[in-house]
Amino acid sequence: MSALTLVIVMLIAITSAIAAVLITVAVSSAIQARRDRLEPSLGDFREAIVTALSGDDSEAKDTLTHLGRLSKRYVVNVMLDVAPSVTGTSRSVLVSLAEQIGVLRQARRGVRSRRWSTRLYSARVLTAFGVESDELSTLVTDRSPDVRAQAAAWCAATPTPLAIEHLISLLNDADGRCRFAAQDALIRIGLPGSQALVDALETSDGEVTMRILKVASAMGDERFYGRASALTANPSPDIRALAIPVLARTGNAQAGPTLVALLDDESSSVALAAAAGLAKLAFWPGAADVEPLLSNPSWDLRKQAGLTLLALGAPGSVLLRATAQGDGPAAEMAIQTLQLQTLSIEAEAA
Amino acid sequence: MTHFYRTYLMPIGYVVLAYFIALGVFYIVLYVSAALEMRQYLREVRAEKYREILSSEIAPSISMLVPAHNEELSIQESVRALLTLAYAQLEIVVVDDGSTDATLSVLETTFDLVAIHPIFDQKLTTKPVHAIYRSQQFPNLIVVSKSKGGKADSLNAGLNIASSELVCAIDADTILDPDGLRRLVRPFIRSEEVVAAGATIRVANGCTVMKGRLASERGPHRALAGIQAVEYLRAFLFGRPGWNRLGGNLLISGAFGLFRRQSLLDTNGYVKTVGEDMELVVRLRRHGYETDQPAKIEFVPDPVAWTETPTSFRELGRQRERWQRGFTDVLWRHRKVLLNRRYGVLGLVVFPAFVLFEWMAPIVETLGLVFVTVGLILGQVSALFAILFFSLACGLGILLSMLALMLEELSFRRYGRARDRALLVVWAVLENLGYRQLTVWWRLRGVASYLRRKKSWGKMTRKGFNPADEADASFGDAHSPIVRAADKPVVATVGSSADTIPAPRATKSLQKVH
Repeated sequence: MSALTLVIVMLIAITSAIAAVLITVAVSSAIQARRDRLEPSLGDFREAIVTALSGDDSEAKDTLTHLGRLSKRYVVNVMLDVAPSVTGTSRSVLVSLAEQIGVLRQARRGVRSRRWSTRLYSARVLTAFGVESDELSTLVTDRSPDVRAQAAAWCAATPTPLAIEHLISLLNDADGRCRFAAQDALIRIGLPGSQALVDALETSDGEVTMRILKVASAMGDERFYGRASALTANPSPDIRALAIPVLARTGNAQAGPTLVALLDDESSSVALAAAAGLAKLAFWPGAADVEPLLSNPSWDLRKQAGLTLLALGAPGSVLLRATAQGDGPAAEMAIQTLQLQTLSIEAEAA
Repeated sequence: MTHFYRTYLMPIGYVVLAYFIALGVFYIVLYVSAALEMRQYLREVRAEKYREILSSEIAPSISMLVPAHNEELSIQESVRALLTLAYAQLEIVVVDDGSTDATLSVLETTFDLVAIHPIFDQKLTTKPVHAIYRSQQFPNLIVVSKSKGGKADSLNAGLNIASSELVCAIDADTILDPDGLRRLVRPFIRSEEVVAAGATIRVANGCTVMKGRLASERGPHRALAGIQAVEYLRAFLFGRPGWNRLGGNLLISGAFGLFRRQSLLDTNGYVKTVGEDMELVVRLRRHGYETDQPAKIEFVPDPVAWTETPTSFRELGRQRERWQRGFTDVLWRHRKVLLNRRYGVLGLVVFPAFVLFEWMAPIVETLGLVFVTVGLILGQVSALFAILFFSLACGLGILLSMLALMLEELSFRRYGRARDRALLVVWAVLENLGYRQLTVWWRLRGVASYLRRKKSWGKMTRKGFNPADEADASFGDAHSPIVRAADKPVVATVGSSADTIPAPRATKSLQKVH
């Protein structure tokens, strides 16, 4: 084949490809333009739905009739926008509308689909409306991490004991999305999930324990005190460091002395967490134990010690001023911390 | 002469033709990869409202690093837009890099700044920091004033002061989608191995900007900006997603990227070079291979940052020359990676492809042009062949652009009006008739200036999204007029006189489109 022939063949191929692409773009654009003409703007329609939800039954019926004429994809999109913002009767009306136009029926069928994208989409729809379904147990162990993560969010919307159990099992998932979704869902569920988490802390170890502790530190339930206190003696410094904020968050009177003891921990991250915990507890009797950390070789620990002393009020400030009289890194950190206090007072006065 | 042509130029002609075929095959592979990636992404995010991330207590915290040098016209608008971003744990660190205009005073008065003395560890060496301020209105806004040291130095100063798990580097004149951060943070939640994620940059020329936000997304109506819009679509809907699947990206635009702060600190932050954004990504990936700690770079096509592009050939030429210079510099700095098995897919696939199909492209294209022209003069190449060859080169260019437009049409359709999208088709065709040849010339000049060790940034002038006389408008001012970016010249009134000064000013913005 000569060079000229080759060029001609390539040119024909490229021209045909351009024509095909242009046709696709034009057809897609025309379809979309038709949709745009038929459907009201999302904003207007969202408003119409909200009005219907706050009105009487006849308005809801009008909306239903209107919804029936529009594409399901469009309707679902609007409903998903509105659903998380409404509660009580309005929500019930919205769920009823979704049920009547077949959105929920389709979603319930969709979670059993063989295509992961359909299962994911359907789970999102059911989550948004907070609908309970037996399929949840299946989705928690789905082979697609996206679907499992969505199932976790769904559990938060329907916090049954079984759902909480599923969430705890997802804390050990191989995929980060699922772990994140499970932790987030457990935090959202809050106190109803505490006892299950305390029980899980008894039997878990390693990474799972750390994830439970992260959840617990955001909840601040007194029930975590006992187990968290025991975990401050765990051989892993990471677990010890994560157990400390849980202790501090409980506000238990016994937590202060425990944290003071941990200031001498061999791991600087544990000592740092203990100093931060003391600040959170405002445990002023611990000020004298925090003060030596101002000369610790770790910059981060020195900084935390300064901030903790500042947070402990008068006893801490006295110690900071005394340290600032000397020299070396401890004095430097004390001076910087005291300047921070001065500037914030000036800023407040200004 | 004929003998010379047949002996020396003819083989070059065949090499050019072979290169052309290889390039076509490579782009087909890249396109298929991009289409698959986009399909998967669109399925993943269908009906996703990102509400969990928005209000989650455990979502990673983000510090936005905003280097600013002489940005008095746009800084207020930019910072206001950042403050309205929907993300729960967000800190904004504006670094005033020794501005000689009123950038700092605009920030001080607008955001009610007070000097603070935060305790921070100077992990990265930077030019001296003069003062640090915190806004009394917005406690999550920090402003750093420092001596001039360039964009990389400013970003490093911001890194020292930032306290979040992730840092987001953006240019001061970039406009982000309100939910952009929530979308961009997903890869970091998915895997702890992800050290950086990049987003799509789109051309804001022609869009309507109101209070630092995009009020309407319109395609550019002028040829130069329109052609650049097509280039950006090609790069961000075609190139980046394609590479995401083929072995990872080498590039995250400096205009909008999210990084793990600790990874940046571990690799000594930004390096002062013309292409510091690309250099950083290559260094992060290299560090990952060298320390056996996976360092994934992800691209998320959905979160969008809007930026103003050059509106004159002179500025555009300078920008493209600078990009090519930076690109050459990065390839040379990291030449050890090329075809080195130690760097896995980076050394054996990604790096060689960038050298062969990106860096060498203008050189081979020029060789092809020389071959055909000399052949025509000597009568060795027929006029028909020359025309067909030129048409082939243009056709491939048009096809690539059309494929990108098709991806846009079938996915995000951000340019809502049919007329805007039709215009993009026109720009895609026009791009190949003169513009593309010019960019080849600019890129060659970039390589040449790198070889001459020219390291300056050059100047880029922008019209700005907001006229200066609106600079005092309050945050909640409902009467602020709507301004169409770059569609009209901007003037700023100086004092009480009627003097007007041209708004363009020097900025240091660097985005890449390869």
